[in-house]
Amino acid sequence: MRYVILDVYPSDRVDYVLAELNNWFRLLAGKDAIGVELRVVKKYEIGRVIVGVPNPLVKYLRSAIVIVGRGNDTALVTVKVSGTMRKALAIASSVQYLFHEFQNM
Amino acid sequence: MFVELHLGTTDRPVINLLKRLGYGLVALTVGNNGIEEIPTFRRLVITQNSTWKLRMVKNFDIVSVIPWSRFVLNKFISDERIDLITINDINKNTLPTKPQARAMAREGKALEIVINPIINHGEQGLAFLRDLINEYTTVDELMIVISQGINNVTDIRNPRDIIELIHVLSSVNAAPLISDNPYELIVNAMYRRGVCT
Repeated sequence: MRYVILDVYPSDRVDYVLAELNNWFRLLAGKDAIGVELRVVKKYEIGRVIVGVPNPLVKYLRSAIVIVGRGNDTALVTVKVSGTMRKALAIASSVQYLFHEFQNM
Repeated sequence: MFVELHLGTTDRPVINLLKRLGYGLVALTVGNNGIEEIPTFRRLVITQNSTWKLRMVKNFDIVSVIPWSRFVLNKFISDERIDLITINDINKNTLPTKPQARAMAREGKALEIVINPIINHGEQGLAFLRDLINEYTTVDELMIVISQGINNVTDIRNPRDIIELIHVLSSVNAAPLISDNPYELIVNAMYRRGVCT
């Protein structure tokens, strides 16, 4: 399992992003995604989310991230991909939100 | 280090975000800046209605053209002032043909793919992008460059994700297309303009 830490801007679009991400992930992965669910490990109020995905399918999730949010004025950026949940949680709680400069605009 | 050749904004927060994502060089398609966070180059984009701007070439570091037909492309391929041929739409009629692509490689012109406007077309855009990369990576010596085409914060994606997307679509290693190739292009353009003699 790999854990992808994502920052979403605006922060209230996390649920929309996760639904879209799931759609595009399945479209790109095709039959490889049968029986696989994206696992939302933790959501942070600031607009950060940790998504768990099986190792061989990380490339499809990262590809889907490029596509999601277009046409809906939503930004979505990968902060880090981690191999363990513990490390992912530590990174997510210590690294500054990438869109912090846009929040006060 | 990643290079973005199609930045259409001078917003400080956008520049700071690009820096945090690993970008080390950018080329601005809009006005002048005073950006100090990141080395910035000025880029002129020639379109169908702005060919008169070619007279201003000396004020810019990089010159690109968005071809509006294959016939004009023939003219621009042999024009020494042009560094880049840009593809930013899913119109197959304006794409360089294989012989034109070979001529571009001979003349030292690079092919730039701006992915944001292409991906905005959804599945159709992804198929176009796949075909584009599959077709032109087979042309020997043709330098291909991938830019995001950033005009505001919502256009920004992690360049490592873009590398993965290109790999998923076409099995091509896109890392050089987003880092080494654009860097080399800027260096070549500077030498051509006589900045580094």
